[in-house]
Amino acid sequence: MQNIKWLYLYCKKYGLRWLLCCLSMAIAVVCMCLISYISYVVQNALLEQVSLMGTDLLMGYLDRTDGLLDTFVEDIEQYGEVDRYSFVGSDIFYFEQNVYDLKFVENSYFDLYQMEIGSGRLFYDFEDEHVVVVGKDLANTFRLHDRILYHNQWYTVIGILDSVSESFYGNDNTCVFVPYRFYDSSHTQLLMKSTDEVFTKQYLSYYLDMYAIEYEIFCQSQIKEAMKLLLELMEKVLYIIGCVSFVVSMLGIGNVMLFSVEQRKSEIGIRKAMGASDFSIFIQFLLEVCVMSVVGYVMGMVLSVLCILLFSWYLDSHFHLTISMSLYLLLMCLGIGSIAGVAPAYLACKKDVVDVLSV
Amino acid sequence: MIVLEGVSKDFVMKGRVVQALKNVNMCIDDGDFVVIVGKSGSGKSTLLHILGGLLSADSGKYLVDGVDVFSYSAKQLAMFRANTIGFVFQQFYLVPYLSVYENIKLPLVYGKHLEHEAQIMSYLQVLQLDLWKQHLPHQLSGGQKQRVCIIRALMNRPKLLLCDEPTGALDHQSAQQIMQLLKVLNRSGMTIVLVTHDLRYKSLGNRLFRVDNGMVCECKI
Ligand SMILES: Nc1ncnc2c1ncn2[C@@H]1O[C@H](COP(=O)(O)OP(=O)(O)OP(=O)(O)O)[C@@H](O)[C@H]1O
Ligand SMILES: [Mg+2]
Repeated sequence: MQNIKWLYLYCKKYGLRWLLCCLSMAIAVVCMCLISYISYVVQNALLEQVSLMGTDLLMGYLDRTDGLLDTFVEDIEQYGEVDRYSFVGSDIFYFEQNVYDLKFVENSYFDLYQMEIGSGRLFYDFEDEHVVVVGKDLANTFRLHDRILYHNQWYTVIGILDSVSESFYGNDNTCVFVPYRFYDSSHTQLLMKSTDEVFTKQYLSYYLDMYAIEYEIFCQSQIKEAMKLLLELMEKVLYIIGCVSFVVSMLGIGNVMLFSVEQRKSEIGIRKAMGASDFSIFIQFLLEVCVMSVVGYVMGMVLSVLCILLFSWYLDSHFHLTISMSLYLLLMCLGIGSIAGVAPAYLACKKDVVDVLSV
Repeated sequence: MIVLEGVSKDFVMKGRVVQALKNVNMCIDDGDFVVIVGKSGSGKSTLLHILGGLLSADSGKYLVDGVDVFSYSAKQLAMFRANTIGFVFQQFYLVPYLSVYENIKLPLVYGKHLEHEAQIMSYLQVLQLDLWKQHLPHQLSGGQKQRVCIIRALMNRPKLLLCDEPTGALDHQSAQQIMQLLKVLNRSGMTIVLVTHDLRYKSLGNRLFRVDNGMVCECKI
């Protein structure tokens, strides 16, 4: 208690230097908090993207000219583990000097991506008519009942979709969707959703091999895993950089404490002459650094909260700062502070009284 | 009763040996006022440091009431300084960021016979420092600082008060005041050892020692 009082009085006289030390600690804390926040935001944004691709989706580029693929799909429908699938073909078309993505899809495609109709209707009720549905972003370019010319054939716009998030395979908001039955190229994609991805992949490979169909299979969960790994790596690297800022503040504090011990050696001498034990001197200086760390920590936390509030307001994201992170940082501050303080405190307590007092 | 028996102290500096004290024998009774004089570099401060338990000798014995101080552990030495010894130095050594009052209370943290608040106040009043007790040391004059140091040294009711040239940094008038104060303290029963350059004060105490090149001998006043 007495130590705290002395420290307070010391700070009243030499507070600025002390405060700067706290500030270096605080900045390290802010760094860590911001790193945690930013990696949270980035991770969330990216994983949201990935999960919008539809969980457990498989996709292959397949040749359908020999009809084997149709047999295969029939088999899959009958015996397979696949919940839903859709053939997908793609092309582009020109309209008033602009290029648009065209996607030939089956009705089930909209289910796969959980796409909802905004206005108008989907393909379901139009057995043979030439119709298209457009993405949300094209709502101003094409209106309901507009007609589009593609390969000398007029298609009527019958629906405008609600907005969907951009997916890994492109932005469906800027696509024009055409019923798959009008697709006439030899290569197609097959999108599938399954509950057991690994099994389905094996199963599909087995069948595709059997039918001698050339194929490639992309698993979404593989991409997701890879992405997660990458993000975790990024987070780790960022934390290491954050730790460097702690090391820098540790050096700063150690330096200031060494200087302070040197400056206060007559105080140390007189305390010893008055009967202070080595241990009590050691504790006095160590406590000083610990209090410095805690004050730095508190300053850092306040600054961090302000920064994160500002960022989350600016980026329109959630406030994110976990309690475990705060506790971890408190421990880190105390640890770093103690490490920085041990050597100066030890030097202080081992100072020879006679040497110190006869300067 | 304080006894030094055959105490020697050498300092080795860059291979050169300085014999600071040579076979010192001294016997100080309780209630004595000992004045030590000697040339600069003769070993007076070294002697005082040994008496104060700040320095250990190379050989000899230092007995306080029959107990050998040189055999103490570091912790016991700290206790010895905290409870038995009071120090007054030429350069004051007040802690710069503590007020006069806080400085005075410093020994109370380490020692065990504690002076009461009322006693502190009366010391401050007697030494005309009561108006200054909230001031910081740099706001005081030299004489005032030394009076603060003396009050501080008295806080643990020391058995032995050691003063190393307490008036070295003061003008004659302030020095006179300090010496009178020491005289009063001695009359109240405190054992005092005073090191001084100033031969005017050699008759202040009841015993006089002369230190010459590390050798100590008692002189007639
Ligand atoms: N820590 C030390 N290391 C080496 N030599 C020392 C040390 N302290 C004192 N000495 C030497 O011991 C001798 C006695 O020193 P001391 O300080 O006791 O003299 P003094 O009588 O107090 O002198 P003054 O009147 O100038 O204060 C000196 O020659 C000094 O150089
Ligand atoms: Mg001296």
